[in-house]
Amino acid sequence: MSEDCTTLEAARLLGMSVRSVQLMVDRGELVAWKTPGGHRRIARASLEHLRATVGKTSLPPRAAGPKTTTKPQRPRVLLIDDSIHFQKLVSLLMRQHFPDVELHIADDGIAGLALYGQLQPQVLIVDILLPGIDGATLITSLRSHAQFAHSRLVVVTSLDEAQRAPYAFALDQLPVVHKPRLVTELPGLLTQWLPARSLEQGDAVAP
Amino acid sequence: MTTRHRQPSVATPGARAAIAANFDGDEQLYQAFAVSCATQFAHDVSAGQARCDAGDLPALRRLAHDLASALTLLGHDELFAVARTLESQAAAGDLHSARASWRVLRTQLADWPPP
Repeated sequence: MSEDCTTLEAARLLGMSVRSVQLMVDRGELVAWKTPGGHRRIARASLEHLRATVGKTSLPPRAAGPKTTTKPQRPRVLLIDDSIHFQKLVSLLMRQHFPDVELHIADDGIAGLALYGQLQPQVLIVDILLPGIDGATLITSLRSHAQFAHSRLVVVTSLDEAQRAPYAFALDQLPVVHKPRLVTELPGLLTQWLPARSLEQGDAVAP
Repeated sequence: MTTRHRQPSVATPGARAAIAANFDGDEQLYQAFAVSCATQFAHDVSAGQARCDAGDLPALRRLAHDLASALTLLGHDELFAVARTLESQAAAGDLHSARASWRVLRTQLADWPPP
């Protein structure tokens, strides 16, 4: 098997459109090169990495056909953080405060970008220090896309203010939660943006 | 079904302070997080040892950074300081000192939670 594949093959493997794959290549989210004729060739290893990391998340199953009843779509939050400790803490917080919200998790920037495109979450929670594409680059990339206007973004980090200085260009006008303050600050921020019904249902006593 | 881990204590001064300062007084949430950390620390010990053996300082730095964040949230200030030192040593490329700090951290994390 060749170590590279075409954009069409990559699109089939990822279940995306050819155009989406082309954009991912152009944004540097997939490792690729161009033939003298300008055709993209994508490293199979980079595809496998993307599939493996995206596969770790709990994507909802796609609808198999037309439904007879319409169920309101649950709000979605995407967390991009490679720390298992904080993935678990955010999961605990979401279950406690927003039980009706779908939490999806990506543990690197590349998988996060791919999932963002698929999910279009209402809220994106991003760590600054990430393997692969760092959080600041990821945020800058996301903010340059029109579709991102529909999402709210929260930055979470263990870096103190002085350590964040190199990333200031990406953090302008964004809420930043210092990880030691995650429990005390994150739910309040999310309450502003997630639909109120989540909170109401979260307060209800289970039958 | 048996569990390998002791239940993390919420009665130590560090835990009490952390519950009040970092967990908004929510002892149950602290306990749930501490239990999840106990499970993850076992994996962190293996990963850290492999990175230490390989002399992979950037990866060791990332792990130390993550451990420091979790440890400070849990209120384990002394071990947090060790993790921070390890992070700095790894950032500075000081493999010898980083290995010494890692040994201290590894010993504590391998027997987590503290009796």
